[in-house]
Amino acid sequence: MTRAATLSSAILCIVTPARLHADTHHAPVRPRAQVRVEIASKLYRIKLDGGDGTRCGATCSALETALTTRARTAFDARYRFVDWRASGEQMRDTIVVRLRERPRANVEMVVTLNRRAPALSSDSVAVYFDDFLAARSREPSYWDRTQLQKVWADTIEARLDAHASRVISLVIGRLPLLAPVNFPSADSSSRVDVSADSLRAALQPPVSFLVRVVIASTRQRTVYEQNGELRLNGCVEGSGAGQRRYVCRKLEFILTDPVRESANFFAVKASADRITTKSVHLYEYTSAPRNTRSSGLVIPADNP
Amino acid sequence: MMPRSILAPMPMRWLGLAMSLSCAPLPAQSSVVTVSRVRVAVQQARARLEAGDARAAAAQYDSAVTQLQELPVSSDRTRILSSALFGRAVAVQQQASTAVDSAAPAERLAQQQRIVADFTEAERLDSARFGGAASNNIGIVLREAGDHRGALAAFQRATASADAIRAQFFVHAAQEYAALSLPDSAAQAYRKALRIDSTLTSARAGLLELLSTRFPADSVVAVVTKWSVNPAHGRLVIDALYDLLRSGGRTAGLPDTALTLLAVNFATMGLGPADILRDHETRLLAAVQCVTTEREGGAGAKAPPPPLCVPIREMLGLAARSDARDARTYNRRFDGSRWWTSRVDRLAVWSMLLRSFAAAYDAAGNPGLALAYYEAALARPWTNGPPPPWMDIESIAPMAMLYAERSDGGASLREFLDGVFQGKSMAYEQNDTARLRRMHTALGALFVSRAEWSNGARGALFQLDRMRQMTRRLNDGRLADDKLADPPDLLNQLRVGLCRAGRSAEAGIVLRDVVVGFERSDRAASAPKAACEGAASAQPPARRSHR
Repeated sequence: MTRAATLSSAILCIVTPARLHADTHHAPVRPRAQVRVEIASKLYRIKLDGGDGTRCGATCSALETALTTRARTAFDARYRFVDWRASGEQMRDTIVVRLRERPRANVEMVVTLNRRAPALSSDSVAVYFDDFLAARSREPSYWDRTQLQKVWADTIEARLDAHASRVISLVIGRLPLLAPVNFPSADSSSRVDVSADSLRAALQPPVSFLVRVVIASTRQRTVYEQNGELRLNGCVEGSGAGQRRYVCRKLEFILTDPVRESANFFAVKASADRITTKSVHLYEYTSAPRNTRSSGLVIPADNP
Repeated sequence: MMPRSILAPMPMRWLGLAMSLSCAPLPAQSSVVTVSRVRVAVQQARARLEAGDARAAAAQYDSAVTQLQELPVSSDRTRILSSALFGRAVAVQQQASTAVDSAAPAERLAQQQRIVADFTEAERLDSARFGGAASNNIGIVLREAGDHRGALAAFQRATASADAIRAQFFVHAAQEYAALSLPDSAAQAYRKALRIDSTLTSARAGLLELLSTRFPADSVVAVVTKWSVNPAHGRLVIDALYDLLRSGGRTAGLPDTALTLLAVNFATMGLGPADILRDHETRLLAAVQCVTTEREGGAGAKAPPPPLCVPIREMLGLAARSDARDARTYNRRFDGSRWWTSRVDRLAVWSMLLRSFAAAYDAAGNPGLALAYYEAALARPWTNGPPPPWMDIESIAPMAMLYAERSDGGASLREFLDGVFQGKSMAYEQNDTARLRRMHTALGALFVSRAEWSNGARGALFQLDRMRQMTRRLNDGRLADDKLADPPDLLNQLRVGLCRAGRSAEAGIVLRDVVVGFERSDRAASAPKAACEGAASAQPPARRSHR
């Protein structure tokens, strides 16, 4: 069972280098990724193009392209901490939204992160998309591509919203942020020196960060390494030392190998030779509305 | 002629420090300045602002304002000038709010006045584009300067605009009402924001925070109960419920209500056992201080754990076990604590949780476990009588699908449906309209999925027709903005089914509700245009035999 200990008022400093501060040139805090929609359901493929459904035919491919375009807009509105560039560029990471059949009654939507460098395992989130039997008996007019494009795009967005917390914490949030971590040595509030604007985050509700760490310790002249995860919860933005940054009220810590178990971060730190950051992620997040800053300031439109 | 104070280039100190040398080159002074060249510069400045480089953006906007000054008046010039003024004010304000403030108070006040003047002038030049945004931004500037009355007045002007993000302006107004200790007006403004844009998270979060801090706890409970039906609000609702859970015994029964609603939200959000253990085990145990070893009573005696620890540990135990043999998952023999079993509403919530776990096991490719948990959610088996009132009605359709897969000639499914109909009869005897509506909806969806239309009570036409009747009956006593609506896709199926049965006049009546339902869910383009559209071309649905 996964267990994690909550240590209120824990100390943790995540310090973003000066070049990453919000109000500097080209702050590269946000990860870049692309999104792709795939129609893997045989039933859908047969209904769209005929044949035996082993391949996505012309109508199916056109629909995939249209849905990918809509999905990019939807992702850009919901997960603004990621830089969702147009496809065609060399992308390291891709979020795949796959519509596939379950063996029995459902078509499900599976959201997965495909990383080119598999530095971090990620879960996928599978949710109900459509009723297989109902889909099979739908009239031919239902399968008109133009009509379907809107209905399915709406459904994809509705499913993303309904399962937002899991989609962010288990898939999209697994895209790493560029925010190095400094670990504290005394008890105080945790800090993440990155601004809400640089993450395009709403000021409410608070965000949570997930920090993956490696703990190195020496026993009998042998260096052992363990992995762990720190979760910084209830992080709200404030200002200090001339910059906007997050202050996190709670810390949870678990060791992830050989088995997942809760641990006291400070006790582990005291007995370790060193703790280093492997990667930093968002675990809970809500986007700020487009064209506004976290302060509420409306910024100018694209086209004067 | 613009007032000199507005169009004059900004002093360098107003821009903060000197403009960065790495800024992209502006159109050279020696070359011919045209409106289109300045437009490009304004677009570049906007891109810099978007990238977080407010200082360079401010300098570039300022240069654009200066250049536009030299150009003859035209509609294009006016449009770009208003953009440049607006952008300059945003960039300078952005810079001021993030920079270390070493300026003297008089200088800060002068800067604030210049920002407000830029916004005011942008609005005067192009009220259609900047009417709401400029007033809103003036409100932000005044708010950051501590002038809450001035800020409120500005936000009120912004809310009167037709700006696409007017709902956000209501949120800002609400925050100022709250700052001025006017909680009723603040709550009203948040609610107006949500009426305009129900997806606005900041309005929901703000309203919840306001209710939590300025209103009796009952107000929070009322709101989160209403919002619990929508999984998209789950995270906000759950955070508010944890606050209530932590509130302990300040209000009798409040933590119990909070725990019940938390479980409802876990189910509404479709959380599985792994989700609950990963994200909620620690929070639940901490919220009610269930770590008994740390609680010492008088004279060194250990204090008993808080009462809610028992139901919380039962819920976590359910998530941890994942075992169909566990008696807890075979209901009717449910041997939970009195907290869960003493009230029908809590048993119903427990059943919802079982259904959510069943769906998670199903999604994880474990149909055996899924079936066991769906059966538990429905309090199966029903050998000793009709199903209990706390069974989870939403589990009927997935349960039926799983039974249909069994190779027993359909016996399981028939026996199951017999029990469901018995339960429905009881609901009719008790005249429980809300329950009847849910049962007719679940059965309608089930028969639609099985393409069984005209079989009396065991057909989709009958069940969906009754669903509509029950909805009408319930709506008779509800306010206009609180009416229930049937699922538009099911209504659309009913429309087609009625046409196939030759009842096109009734299909025409249903069509109206279908169209309204599609419009409500932003799918107006997909709505059918005629009563029997799609019905004639469809293949007659094959009747599926029970295997």
